[in-house]
Order: sequence, then structure tokens, then C-alpha cells
Amino acid sequence: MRWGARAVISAVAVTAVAGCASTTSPGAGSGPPPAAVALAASVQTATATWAAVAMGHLADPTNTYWEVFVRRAGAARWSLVTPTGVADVGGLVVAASPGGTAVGFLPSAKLTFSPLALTATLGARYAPALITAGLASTPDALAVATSGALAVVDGGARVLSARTAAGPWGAATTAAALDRVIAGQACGQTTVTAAALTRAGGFLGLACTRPGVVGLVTLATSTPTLVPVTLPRALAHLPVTVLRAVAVGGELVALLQAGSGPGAYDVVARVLLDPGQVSAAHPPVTVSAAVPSPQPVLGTSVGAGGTVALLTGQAGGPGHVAVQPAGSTTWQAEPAPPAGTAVVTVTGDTLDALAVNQADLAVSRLRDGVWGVVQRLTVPISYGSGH
Amino acid sequence: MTGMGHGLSTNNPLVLAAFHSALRWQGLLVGLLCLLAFGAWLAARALRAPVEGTPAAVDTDEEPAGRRLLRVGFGLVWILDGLLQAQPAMPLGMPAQVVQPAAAASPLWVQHLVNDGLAVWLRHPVPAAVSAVWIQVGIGLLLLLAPRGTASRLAGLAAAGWGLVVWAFGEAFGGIFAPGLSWMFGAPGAVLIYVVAGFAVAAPERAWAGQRAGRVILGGTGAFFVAMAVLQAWPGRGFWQGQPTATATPGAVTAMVQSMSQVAQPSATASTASWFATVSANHGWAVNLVAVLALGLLGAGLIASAVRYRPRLAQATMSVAVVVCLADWLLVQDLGFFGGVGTDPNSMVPWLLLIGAGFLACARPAPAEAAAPAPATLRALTVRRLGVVAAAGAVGVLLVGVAPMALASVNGHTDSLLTEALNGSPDVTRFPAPTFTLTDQQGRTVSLAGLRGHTVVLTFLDPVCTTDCPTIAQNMRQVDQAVGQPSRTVFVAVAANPIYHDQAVLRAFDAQEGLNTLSNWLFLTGSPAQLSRVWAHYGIEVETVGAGGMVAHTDNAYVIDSSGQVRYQVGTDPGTTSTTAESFVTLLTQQVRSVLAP
Repeated sequence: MRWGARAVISAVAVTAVAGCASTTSPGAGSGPPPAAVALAASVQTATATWAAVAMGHLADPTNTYWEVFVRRAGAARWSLVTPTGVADVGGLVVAASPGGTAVGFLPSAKLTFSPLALTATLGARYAPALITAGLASTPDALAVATSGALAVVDGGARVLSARTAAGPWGAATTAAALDRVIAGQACGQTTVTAAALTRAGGFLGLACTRPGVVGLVTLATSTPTLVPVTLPRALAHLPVTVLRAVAVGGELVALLQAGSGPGAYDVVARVLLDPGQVSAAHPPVTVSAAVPSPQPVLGTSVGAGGTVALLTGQAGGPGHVAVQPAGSTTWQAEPAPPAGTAVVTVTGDTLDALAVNQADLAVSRLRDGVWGVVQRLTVPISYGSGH
Repeated sequence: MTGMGHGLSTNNPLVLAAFHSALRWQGLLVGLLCLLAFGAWLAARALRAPVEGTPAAVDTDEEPAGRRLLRVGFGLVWILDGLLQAQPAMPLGMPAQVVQPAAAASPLWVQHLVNDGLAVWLRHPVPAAVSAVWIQVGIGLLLLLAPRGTASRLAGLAAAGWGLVVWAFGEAFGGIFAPGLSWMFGAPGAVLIYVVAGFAVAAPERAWAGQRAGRVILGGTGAFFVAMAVLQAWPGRGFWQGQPTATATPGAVTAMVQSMSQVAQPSATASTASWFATVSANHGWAVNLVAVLALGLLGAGLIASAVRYRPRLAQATMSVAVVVCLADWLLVQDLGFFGGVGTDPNSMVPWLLLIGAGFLACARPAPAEAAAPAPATLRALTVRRLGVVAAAGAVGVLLVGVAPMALASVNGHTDSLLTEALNGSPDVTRFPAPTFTLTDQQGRTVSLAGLRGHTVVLTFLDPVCTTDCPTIAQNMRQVDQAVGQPSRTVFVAVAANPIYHDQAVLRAFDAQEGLNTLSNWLFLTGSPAQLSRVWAHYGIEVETVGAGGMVAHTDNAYVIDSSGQVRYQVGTDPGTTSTTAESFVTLLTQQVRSVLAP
């Protein structure tokens, strides 16, 4: 992909944000509610790119099946690797790490806990495990690493930890406890939206109702501590939700959404974790420009190098893609992806749009500014089998 | 199988057979009652032959014409409604296809009320459906056969009372609390007109003296029609639009007619409905204008007739009423009773009867003073006795309907027929239960042989199942509570998932379902090979479904007696409603009790 050829939109975005701020300055504690977090997501590790998307009859929740696709490093094609044994109509989350990947089943209907499927073979074989609580419906509700595992459960009210994803899982903290220990910089009514395990320890992302407070918490300190993230002043009146928090090499990449609905903006905060620079309580943080996000976020992706791709729009519509390359603090607008795109994945410097039409998946790749279909897959969905 | 979708169809053969059987038996009972009534009448005539000139009082004045029209007209309509209740789809189709859709657009409190009222029908569909047949036929017969006196007034009251029940619980208050209320579609509910007619028949006959009753009927009806005309004309309610393009959202009338044309019916009415659907789609505004004008004109004519009765105006207004009502009945309401679950001919015939009674009451008022009783003649006394005996017979028919409904309403257990309809009748068997040795959720070794001396309920559950298995587990707990002998019964589940079956997941399932406190609950697992052998021995098919589907497995349970003999084999599919699951609890409780009995 030719990053430099893309239109740079950050300046426009910041100008727009500033304009907004000059006319709206609600008091602390008020303002629009935190944003909802889209579950469709993709993440890349050194060995593969993973994506989880909803397929089937999307208007019927009982016949909406979540599927996991993987694209091995160096491969051009995607493979269906959805784990079996559990109905996944509630949703799936994928926690990928170089050492192995865990797929978590979200609760649905009368199932209140979350079975897990663990793989070290890129989905060729899975081993069963479970969390005795229900994973939260956010793409980074589950994090795995060689150092341990974290899980956000009970709708973001609690966090569990384990030495490995196979368990046993024990209580790590709760949203209420987080709110207490970070008193004075409290983010208001808190839910945990993301967990990440880095070489510097665990991080949690929160949805804060207190305007301007970025709920990015490090667990590396003796007590959970808010990482100081300063947003552009124009966003200070908006509540911030951490949409994604992913450990990428020497940094934690956090995708933030300030506000919700038509007045929302997206920002990437990069927490640098290089051993020489890390101060557990005050790691260096780079905050990108803000991009307006007037339509709902449909899918998010984080590449292995730290590139972030954001898909917004109305479900089933053409959507808009904004990409922030690794090492950059600006967003680039990309051509509108094909209709039905559920997520735009990042693999190295390649963008793939995964478009869904019931049981059919069409993969389009962006080349020279044009999306072209490179693969079609039909998923053998057995309708009626999800409930 | 779990995970493959399931439910009871309205034409389930087992339910149909039970319904027809109950109808036959109760029909026989009704026939016997008629014979008894006839015999009683013959005996009375033989034993107490009247003497000419006996100074018995026999009313010789005629029944007021308006009252007679209401009584006979609605008597016939009630009988028709009763016969419609005998349609095969009624036991299972009435709640799901008639009542709940009618309530769906109403506020939540209406839906809750309707669902509460439906509980008896849902739990005992066959007795309830049969009751509805005979109650309505009985009311109709009573109205027809008791022309005067206390019995006739009681018939009116019975019609009004049952009508109110049907209006509230069967018609969700005629949809008056739902958006889109329209006279054209049947507002305020056909049965509410039955109720009005019932109260009119139940009123003392002196209420029919002069033109008073007629004026009240015409004035009330006229005011209602004018209000309905205003509502029909109100902008923004979807009545002025047709359907300009095939993809556009149809207007209210077009949508109604289109839905009626989809109902199974004779080709003649179907083509008429389709034709009018096209007309209203293309000329929605004009159709509504005609409706508004007709309603307004009719309302004005009725009010004017109520204020001052003039025969020519009455004749004209009645003519307009006949044309408008019949047109709406045919073109919009599609006669109302097709489709297999039509419960009445909708509102237009009742409206015509009510309006006609109002005009008759004005045109041929009863005298203000009742005529002096004439001396009884043999013929008059015979006719009166025949009437009394016939009315008694009709009351008997009514009671034939009321009795099963009353019994059903006090029976807290859901009819086991529902689970049998879903899963097939249970197999009553006696063969040695295939033995096995597995590990329970706590890691203890358990063998079936080691459970000798207990009655064992054995089933197969997927611990990560999202729907049926949690319900089946709860059913087992309810059976355990109902049987109440935890020291003599053991409820055993074998894991039915080839991937998720370790002890941790079994314990998670137990915690989820609150089963971890039950002393007589065992959830067993083993290696895939061990589990496969047990599944095979008990005929349990387990299939892993890809692409996000749930593991599918056979839903079966076995009741094994204390000597290790399988006594019952029963399907455990809980279906898609709470009543089918409750029905399973009833059946399994009966089976466990019968095995426990000495």
C-alpha cells in the first residue's frame, strides 16, 4: 500500500474538533454516553493475522454466527478456523500472541460462562478450556501472553487473570475497585473494555463517563494506575472509551473513541514500553491526531507493526476506512471498501476488506488505491444450529 | 435433537386426535342431554296435562322486535363461533396465531394480561379448545331457545360475560390500546358488540317499551361511527396512503387487505381480496375518502334517527349501513373466518344486527304496558314447557363446556399431552439398562450398577449448550422436587459433547444451573471413547456442527428402576415454549412416581 499517496486528513480532523469544542463545553460528568465497542475485529501477530466477523442472517441474532479466519504470515489467502463444540451466536473474541491464540465464546441464551478454544497451530487444532464467567462483548476482552492471561468478564465489571489461558482463572480486579484506586483521577462510572498483556505488564482499557479522562490503566504498578494520556484540548469535554488495547512489540497501541454518535472522534494512543524508557506509572505516550467518526465503528484492526485500521459506517453499507500507519500520528482516508465489509484487516502494509453476504465471504485487497476481490469463501453455516 | 430447532405445529396429529376424541365424547354427552331434556318434556306433558281454562298466566304479547333480532341474530352468530372453534388448528393455533399476535401491538400491560389469561389454554389446550366450542354453542342455543323470561335474560348475561372474557383475553381488548385502530379492521372488537347485544337482551323487557332502547342503540352507534370517521380521517395514521411502488411501505388499509389475501381461503374470496389490495394500493387516498365519508354519513344518519325517528331516513340509513358493512366485510375483513384459526365473522355482521335492532325498536316499539296475561291454552302451555326444557338443555350444553375449562383452570400441572406431541409417546419398556462406569463432576468414579436400589433418571446433556440442555436440567430439578424422594432417586446426566466435557466444564454448568446444591445430581464424563460407548448403548447420536453451530445430540431420558431395568424411555426436547417444558415435567414426574410405587 502506498501510505504516502493517501490523503492526510488529520489537519482537517483537528480543525473540526476545535470547532466543536468552541461551541460545546458541557460540565464535568455530563455529555454523551461512552461509545459502544464493535466486536468485529482483527489482530496480527508475527505468525498470522486473525479476524472475527459475524455472518449468516445478521438480522436474526439466533442465526448470526461468528466466524474466525486466519491468514498465515506470508500466505495470500484466508482460512476458516472457527472452533467447534459451542454455539457462537453470542460472539467470539480472539486473543492472539506469538505463543498461541485463544478464542473465547461470548455468553448467549442460557450459557452464562465462556468456553475457550486454545490453539498453537493457527486453528488447525484446538484444545478446550473455559472461564467460569461470561466474557465481555469487546474485541480485547481476552488477552494471552507467555506471561499469563487476562479476561474481562461480566459485561466489563470484573477482570480475571490466569497463569495460562487454560486456567485456573482467579479474580484480578473489578471495575469498582479500579474506580476506587484511581480516585482523584476517577473516570466516573467505569466498565472495563479491553485487556492487554505487554512486556511491561498488564494494561486495562476502560469506558469512562467523566469527560476527558482516558481510562488506560497499568497493572504494572503496586496499585492500578491511570496512564497519563492527554487528548487534544478540543476533545476534553467528551467521555472516552478504549475500543482496543493491543500489545505490539515495544508498545501498547490503544484505539480510543471520544464521544459517541455523530460527534465522536477516534484517537490512537501509543504507550512506549521500551525497557530503557519505561516508568511503570508514567510511560511515554504519543497521542495521534483525531479523526471524526460520525458513523458507528463497525470493525477495528491492529497490525503487528502497530498500524491501526478503522472501519466506520452503517452495517451493510459501503463504509469508510481510516488508517493510521505504524509510527505515524496522522490518519489516512482510504477508498470506500466493498458493501458488506465487516472489518478491514492489516497484514504488514496490506489492507484486506472482509465483506460478508450471509454465508459468503469476499476478501478484497487494496492495491494502487483500488479494492479488488482476491478470494471468495463460503462458510458451511448450519442455520438453526445456534440455539 | 438439541440444537436443530424445534416446536409444535398446529396440526400435530396427537393433539388433533385428542381434540377430536374430546369433541366426540362431549358431543355424545350433549346428545344425551338433549335426549334427557326431550324425555323430561314428554314426561312433564304426560304427568301434568293442563286443564282447559286453568287460570295460569301466559304472556300473549310478542317479544319486542328489536330484542328478538338481537337474540336470534347473536344466537346464530354464537353458534357459528362455537363451530369455528372446532377447527383442527384451534388447540395449538389459537394462542400463537390469534391471541398473541392480536396483543403484540398493544402496550405491555395488555400483553401481560392476555398472557396470564392464556395460561390455562396454553397448559391445557385440548380441554380449553373443546370448552370454547361448547360454551359458545351453549350460549347460542340458550339465546335461541329461551325467548322470554328469566332464562332468556340469563342467556343475555351469559353472552355478555363470556363475551367480555373473549374480548379481553382473546381479542386483546379488540386492539383499542394498539396503534392503527380502525372501524374498517374490526375496532373495537367484534365480541364487544356481542357484549352490548348480550346486555341488551339481559335488560328487563320494560326497557324495550317505547322507542327508548332503539334511540339509545342508534345514538350510541351513531356517535361511535362519527368518532371512527374522525379517527379514519386523522392524518399521519397511514390510512391515506396506498402503495405507490412495489417496494414502498404499504398504507394501513393496503397492508391489511394484502395480509388477508394471503390467508388460506376459497379462490373467489382470495381473488376479491387481491383485487381490492391492488385498488387500495393504487388509490389509497380515494379508498380512505370513501371510508371516511361513509362512516360520517352513517353516523349522522344514526344520530338523526335517534333524535327523531323518521321511517324514510331510517330506511336510507339502514341501506347505507348494509352496503358499507357488507362491502367492508367482503373487501377488507375478507369475511373474517378463513385461515383455519378464524374465530368469528368479524365485526360487520354484528354491527348490522345491532343497527337493525335499533331501527326495529324504533319502528315497532313494544307497548308501554304489558298485555294482561291470557288464560292458558294447551298449546301455549306446551310451547312454554318446551321452551323451558329446551333452555335447560342449552344450559346443559353450556355446562359441558364450562366444566372442563373449570377443571383445567384449577389444575396447576401442564398437560403431559404437549410433550408427547413433541417427543412422541414414551416407550414403556422393561430391559436391563446398559451398564457403564464414568467419573462425576467431582472426579469420583460412578457406575450405574453402583446405583442399584435407587430409581435413576438418566439423561444426556451438553454442558456448553445454550438452550435445551439448561432447560432439561431445570426440568430434572423440578421433577426431583415434585417427586420429593431424594434419598430414593438419582438424577444422572452424561456429558453429550465430544469436545467440552471435562469436570471443570461440568461444574461450571452445575453452577450456572444451580445444580451444585442437589445431593442426588450426578453429571458424568469420561474419555471420548468411554462417552461414545455410552452414547451408542443408549441410542444417543452426537454430532459436532461446524461454523459456529451447537453440538447436536438426541434428547432422551431413561427411567431406570431400583433393579436396573429401564422402565420408560422418553424424549426430553423441551420445545420452544415454557408450557412444553412444563408438560415434560408432568410426564416425567408421573413416570418416576409410578416406578417408585411399591
